[in-house]
This record gives sequence, C-alpha cells and structure tokens, in this order.
Amino acid sequence: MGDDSKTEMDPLRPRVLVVDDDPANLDTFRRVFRRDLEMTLASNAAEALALFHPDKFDVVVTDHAMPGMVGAVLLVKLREIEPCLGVVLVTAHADLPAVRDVRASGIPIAVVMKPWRKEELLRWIHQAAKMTRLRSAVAAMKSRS
Amino acid sequence: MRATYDEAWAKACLVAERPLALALAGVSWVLVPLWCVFDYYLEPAQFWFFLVLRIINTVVQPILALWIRNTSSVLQLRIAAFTTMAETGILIAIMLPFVERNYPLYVLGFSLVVWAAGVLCRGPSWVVGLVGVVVLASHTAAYAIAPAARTQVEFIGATFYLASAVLIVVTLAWFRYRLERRAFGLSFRLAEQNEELQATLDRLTDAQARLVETEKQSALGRLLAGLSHELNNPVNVIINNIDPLREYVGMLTGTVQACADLRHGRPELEQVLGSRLPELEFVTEDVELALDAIDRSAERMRQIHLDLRAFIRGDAPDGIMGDPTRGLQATLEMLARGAPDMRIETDYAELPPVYHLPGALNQVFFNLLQNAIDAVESSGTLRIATRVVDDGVEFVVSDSGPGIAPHIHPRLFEPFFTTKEVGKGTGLGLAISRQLVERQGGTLTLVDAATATFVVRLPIRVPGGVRTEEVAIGCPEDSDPFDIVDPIGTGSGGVAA
Repeated sequence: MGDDSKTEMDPLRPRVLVVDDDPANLDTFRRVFRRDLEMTLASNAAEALALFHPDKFDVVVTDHAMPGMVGAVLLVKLREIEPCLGVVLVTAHADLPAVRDVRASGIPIAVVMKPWRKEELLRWIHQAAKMTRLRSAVAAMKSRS
Repeated sequence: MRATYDEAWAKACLVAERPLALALAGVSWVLVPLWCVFDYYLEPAQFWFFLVLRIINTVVQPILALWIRNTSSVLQLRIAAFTTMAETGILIAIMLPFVERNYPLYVLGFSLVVWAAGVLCRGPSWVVGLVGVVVLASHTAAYAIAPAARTQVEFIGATFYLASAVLIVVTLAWFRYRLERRAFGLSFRLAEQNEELQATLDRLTDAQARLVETEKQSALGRLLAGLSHELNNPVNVIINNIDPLREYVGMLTGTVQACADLRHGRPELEQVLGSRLPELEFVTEDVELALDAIDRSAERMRQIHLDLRAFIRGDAPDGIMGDPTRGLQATLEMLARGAPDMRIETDYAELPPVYHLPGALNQVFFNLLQNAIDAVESSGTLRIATRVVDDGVEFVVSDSGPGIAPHIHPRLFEPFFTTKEVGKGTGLGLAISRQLVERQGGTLTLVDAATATFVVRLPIRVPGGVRTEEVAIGCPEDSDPFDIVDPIGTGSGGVAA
C-alpha cells in the first residue's frame, strides 16, 4: 500500500485518537470536540496501540498519568510506528521526569496543562494535524524522487 | 583555650584566696594587740614600747585588709597577704632583742606568724616561703642588732625551731597548691567537656526539630500534591462540560418553547405540555442562572487549584531558571483568601530569569507572608514588591503591623525563637526560610525593623547544567513552531520542537 491509498484527511476536522484512563475525561473530550474533531477514544495505552494505524489518525492526544504505560512513553512508541505523527500530551505536571525526557529526546510534542481550555487545546490539535500533513507530504515527495 | 584556662584559674584563685587572706589580716589584727596582756605580766619593763609596736600593727592591718578586699589581681592579692604576715613578723622581730625574761615564749608567739601563713595562705608556696624568709631574716637581724641580749645557743635554738616550722609549712603549701591546681585542671576539662556535650546536644535537638519540621512540610507538600493531582480530572471535567451543557440546555428549552408556541389548536400537544408549561418560564431562567453560578464557581475552583499547583512546585526537586513571581503571586493568593479584610499593595517589576527551587522558594514566601498577615492581624496593609538590583533580584515583603522590637532583632533567625502564641508558631519558619534561600545562593535579611521589611535576594547568574525554563529545546530535524500551552503561566509546560 502506497501513500496514495491513504484516506485523505479533512483539514478542518482532523482525525484524533484520544487516550485517557478517566472515563469522565474521555466523555468530556467527546462532548466538547464533537463538532471539531473526528475522534476515536481509548482508555489506556494498550488499547491505543491496538487501535492505532498511521492511515487512520492525524493526531494522538493522550493524558500522561495513566496506569500501565504513561502517556509520554505511549507517544514515543507511536512516533516509532509513525514518525510523522503529531502528538499532544495533556498533563498536570510538566515537571515530571518522563515528560522532561520526551521533551529532551527531540520529539516534537505539545504539552498542554490540565485543566485545559477548549480553544487552546483545539489550536494545538490543529497545529499538530497541520504538521502531520506537511511531514507526510515531504515524506511522500522524498519517496517519489 | 589556654587563655581561657588561665583566666578561669585566676578567677578561682581570687575566690579561694581572698577570704583566707582577709582572715590572716583579721587574726593578726586581733591577736597581736591581745598579747599586750602578756607583755604587761611577762615583760613589764618593755610594756609601753611593745604597745606602740602593737598599735602600729592594729593600724596597718585594716589598710592591708582593704587592699586585699579590693584588688582584682591575683599577684597583688598574694603580695598583700604576704605583706600582712611580713609586717606582723617584722614588728614582733623588732621586739625580740628587748625581751629579757621570757624569750622562748616570745619565740613561740613569733612562730605563730609562720604557722598562720602555712595554714591560711592558699596561694603558691613562694608566698609562705617569703614569709618564712622574712621571719628568719628579721629574727637574725634582731640578734645582730642586740647580740648581748641573747646567748648564741638561744638564738641557734630559736632559729632552728623557726626554720623547721618554715620548712614544714612551705612543704605543705607546695603539695597543697599542686593538688589544687591539678584538681582545678580536671574540673576545668570536665566543665569544658560538659559544655561541648551541651552544645552537641543543642545542635542535635535543633537538627532534629528542623528535620521534623521539614518532614512535616514535605509530608504536607506531598499531601497537597496528591490532592491537586486527584482534583485535576474532576476540575477539568466540570470546567469543560459547562459550555456544551449550556448549549444543549439552550437547544432543549428552545425546542420546548417552540412546542409551546405551536400548542394552540392542538389538543394532544396541549395535553402533553399541560401542567409543565407554567413552570417553563422560570425553569428557562433558572437553568441559565444555575449554569452561570456553576461557571463562576468552577472558575474560582480552577484558580484555587492552579494557585495550589504553582505553590507546591516542590515536586520539581531541581533548580530551574525562571521568574519566581508567579509562585509569589500564587502563595499570596492562597493566603489572602484567609484574610479578606487585608489591604494588599503590590509592585511587581519585570524580572530576568533567575536560578531558583520553586517549591522551596514558595515555602519561603509562604512563611514571610504568613508572618506579615499574623502581624497585621488580618486587617492591615501588606506590601509586596519585586525589583532588579545590580546583580540580583529582590522580593520585598513588609507590613503595617507593629514592626519588630529592637531586642527581638538579633534573635529573629534563631531556631525556636518565636513571639507568637503557643501553637501558632514553632519559631522555625524564618530559620528554615533563611536556610532555603541560602541553598539557592541567595540571602534573606530584615532591612527595616519598623515596617518588618524582609528582603529575599537571589543572584542573577547562569549556573552550568541547570535546566532552562521557558526555552523550547531545539531539534535540527523538526522545527515545528510549537509553543508552551500553560494556562497557569508557570512556564513548565512546553514543546520540544
């Protein structure tokens, strides 16, 4: 399957995989961004990894503090699968060592503090989606040439 | 340590020797004149001459006693004690050549000078020795002046007796002085060790109390951090559900209103809406009001939560470069909620990033602000300012309270020193605060006692290996212009791009 077979994304309605262990938070995501995003919800990292496919998502938004695999580690794994993927990490503590390590590793990751505001989070999701598109386009051009 | 030992020894000598020297003068002052009774019976021919000599002694001894009483020098005290004995001895020695009938009795009396010196002089043996020399010399001189008065055998016998007495008392004095000195040395070292032990004990108690206090604060910090973390999701859910809820409720009430408008002439609709219609108006209004109230409260909750989180930045154990003003503001906000009548004047300057430990520094701000609020009793004025000075930044906290009394000033930063009521303060706040500020390379000082103005000063510098806050970490491959999305402005969020 080449790049051409990828489902074209709607720039106004990015496809987002949302990962959060708190059902109330996931529910809130679904409600708040119902009109703005095309969302798939996962309640932990393992579920997110099972659901993830590079063609299906433009952005992954994940909570950091989750039982099992934390958000920062999940994002690193997802970026290994899809290096062009845009990622947003939602956390209450940007000082956590795991978050710092991800930031120091050079992965372009937007860290959004919780409690978030709709406009701000949406802006970063769109930004991440835009970057995903640009990176994918560059990768496609490289593979053609 | 040596000088201290000598000083202590001199003081001990003065204390021990002064009363005995006074006793010597007293004994001489009493006994020498009393002998005039014997003069009257034993040597009536010399009675008046001897009486004059004895009266001279009676006059001189009180003067010497005054000297003994007032001197603060050990050497002077010993010279005075020696003079007391020597003066008595010389006066009696002057009498001896004139004694005609009862020479041995007078020699016995004369020897009392030596015995008295031996018993009552606690000083070194040279004092007693000198008394002995003077006694023997004056006795010999008396014999030399009037050789006809005595036979040679009488003189030699008397001299031998006196010399023996001198030898005995000097030996006694030598041993006694040596023993005393050794005993003093031992007790001095014991006292020194006791002092060291006491100091060590004080330091231990102090360290233990600081440890307990620090542990208490750190436990409180962990508790707050846990609480803050647990509140994150509920706060997030409440805040972000209000807008969708408002929209949905609007839609529902709009729909119901539309049905109500269409109900005329439609009995089935009239029947369904029925009794609910009269309440629709106030329900619509109330729902809006209730949502507004929830919105305002949620916003307030969010603010408190953000302040709390900014305050407990203690979970960031590393020092960072940044502006600590936000921490100061958050701490102030938290404390000010408990004192709504207090006037707060702030004057924040634009600060360059400085190296600091956010959690520790907020703890310092908390202590200073809490002290100020306690001082104004929740209804005065609290003044907070930040400013840039030559090579550092300063955080100034002062209040309109009674100020700090001059006698308290020197003890202000001592551990356990508190002017607060029992249970209100441990007296460790300022001591620990100073320690925390110094750990960050800064200083905490009281600059004006009248207005209780405390200044926390942190140096502007870029220490090696310190994480720089508010600076995105660059990556050569990706250069997404991501920025920090940090609603609380601690700058701790961010993007590595």
